[in-house]
Amino acid sequence: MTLISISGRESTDIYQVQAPSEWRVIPGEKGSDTKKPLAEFQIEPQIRVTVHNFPGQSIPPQAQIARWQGQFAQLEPQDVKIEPVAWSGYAGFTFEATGTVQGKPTTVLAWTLQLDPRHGRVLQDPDKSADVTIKAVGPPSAIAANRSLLNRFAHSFELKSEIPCDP
Amino acid sequence: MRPISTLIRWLGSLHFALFLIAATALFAITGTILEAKTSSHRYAAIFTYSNPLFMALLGGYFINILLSALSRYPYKKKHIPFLITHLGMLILLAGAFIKGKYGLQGNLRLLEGGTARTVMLPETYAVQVFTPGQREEIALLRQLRLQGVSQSVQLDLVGYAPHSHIQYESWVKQGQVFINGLKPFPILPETATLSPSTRIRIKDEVWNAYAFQTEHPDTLRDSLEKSGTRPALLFAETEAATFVTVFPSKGETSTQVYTKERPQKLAVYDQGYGGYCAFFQGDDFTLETPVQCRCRPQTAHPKIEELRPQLTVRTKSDKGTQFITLPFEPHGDGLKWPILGGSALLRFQPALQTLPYSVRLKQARQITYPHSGQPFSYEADVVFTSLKTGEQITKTLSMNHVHETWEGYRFYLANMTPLDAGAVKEVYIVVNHDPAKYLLTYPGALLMSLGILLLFWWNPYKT
Repeated sequence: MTLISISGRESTDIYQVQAPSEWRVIPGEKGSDTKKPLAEFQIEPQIRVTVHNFPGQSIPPQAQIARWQGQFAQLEPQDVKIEPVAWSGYAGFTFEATGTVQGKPTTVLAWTLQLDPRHGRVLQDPDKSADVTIKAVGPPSAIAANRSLLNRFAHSFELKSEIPCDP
Repeated sequence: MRPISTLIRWLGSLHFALFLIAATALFAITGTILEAKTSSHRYAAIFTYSNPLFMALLGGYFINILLSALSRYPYKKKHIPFLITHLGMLILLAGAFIKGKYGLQGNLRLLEGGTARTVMLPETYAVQVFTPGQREEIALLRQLRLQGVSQSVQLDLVGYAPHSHIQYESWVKQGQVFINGLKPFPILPETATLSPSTRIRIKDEVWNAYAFQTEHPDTLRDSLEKSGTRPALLFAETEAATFVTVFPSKGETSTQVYTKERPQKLAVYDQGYGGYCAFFQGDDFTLETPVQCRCRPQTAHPKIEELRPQLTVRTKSDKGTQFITLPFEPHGDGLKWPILGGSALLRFQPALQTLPYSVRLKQARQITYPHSGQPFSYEADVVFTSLKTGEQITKTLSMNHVHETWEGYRFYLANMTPLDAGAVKEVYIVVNHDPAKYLLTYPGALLMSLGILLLFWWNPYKT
């Protein structure tokens, strides 16, 4: 695993994540357009992992999940799994769904994360306290084969700088 | 010379040893009874283990063991196990003394994702003085004396109560309603006729402002709603909370409740240096009022763990003089109160000690048995960074998995809340440091064990 720094919309290198060294890193562009990813990873030819943040916008995790569900042309409720998660000061949900996108069977394994407001009060930089999404999209078999790596990757995501917690 | 030698012989005698053992047993019995009667470990400890007499007993043990060993001089071969045992006990006692004097036992509170470098020392009291980028500590000693110096402000203790009732006041203070930017207006006893306390201008409208002391805020609100008086503001003050209801000229009536507990939602100005305000967010306006803490002394009870002392200090600097009463914040997480026009912030809380490490909590979790909600274990992934060398170690702490550093600091996972998988968890870590453990305590215990083994195995006094 390699430690990779990810820049925010305005600030440089605010996040860090552990990614397998064989993953190809496509650096993102700085800028306020939150539709563009902060970082992108290509795993094998078929899986694409993107990391976004949304400074200054509070998007409820449920709204993110509804948006991801809406990206499927066909999706059966039994093929959707949503679980609460929390790590490194972020809380949110893991979303995993398998359905059809543009006529192809596709799995989306994604995380929608919000930084705890108690940390948000300490951090002055809106880039650092922004909501984050991590999303892997690919064929169901490829996602299944890489599920554990993708999970490890997502769970290693954190803010690079320390968040002071002293009384 | 004779009385002195008699005293020395008695201090090293079996009689004195038996006296010490009996006195220790008495202390232990007293402690057990007191703890059972008061449900307070700290109350019992004050009269027993933290009592100077108990410390004197430990000194007595040291003298008794030392003199008893010396009294065998000139030593023979058969004395070797006896001497090893006594040397071990002396080293153990010295270790216990050094741990008590220079050791550390503190609590570290960490939120997932957060990093801490300071531990809170339980059973201590101190005023923390915060200025931008700096923290200074003034300790409150048992003799009710402040010890320590702050560069930014001079503190003098003028009052102390061992227990107090603490309330946070927002809209209503001393019988008047305070809204930032407006003249305070009186709160009235509840009457059958509803007449406004004052009229205030918000945007381009004149609002009737009603303020009543009541125990039935809902009835008051309904009465005002029925009267059709709009736009209007209603402040209904009860024993436990203030109910603020806004009746706009257009739109729906809305109520917000401001309890007298520590507020969860506040407007914070200049990181606290500019003070704190409770606020009401209307559709197109915001009302604010300063938040104050009111401490009222109460009779102290023996359960010391639940006492909330209060402290009144005179603060002095080139900005002037100000008196302030501070509530005790046992977890060090309460508001820091601004003084002298925002030149510093104060908080009365346990003393803090800086660790030679930074401790970062990555993730904490409850692990349950498969297909069951029954907890099996609690774990916390923690990164320890040495502030001296920069070396980083990642460890998973769990109930029986303690991390010990080379310098002898031990980190125990003590508590975790909340336990839901989707919530950012707060973890309590107990930090313990015994500077004498490897030099005295463990070698002392080893020597003592070796001596006892030799006594039984060798049987040197067999005739």
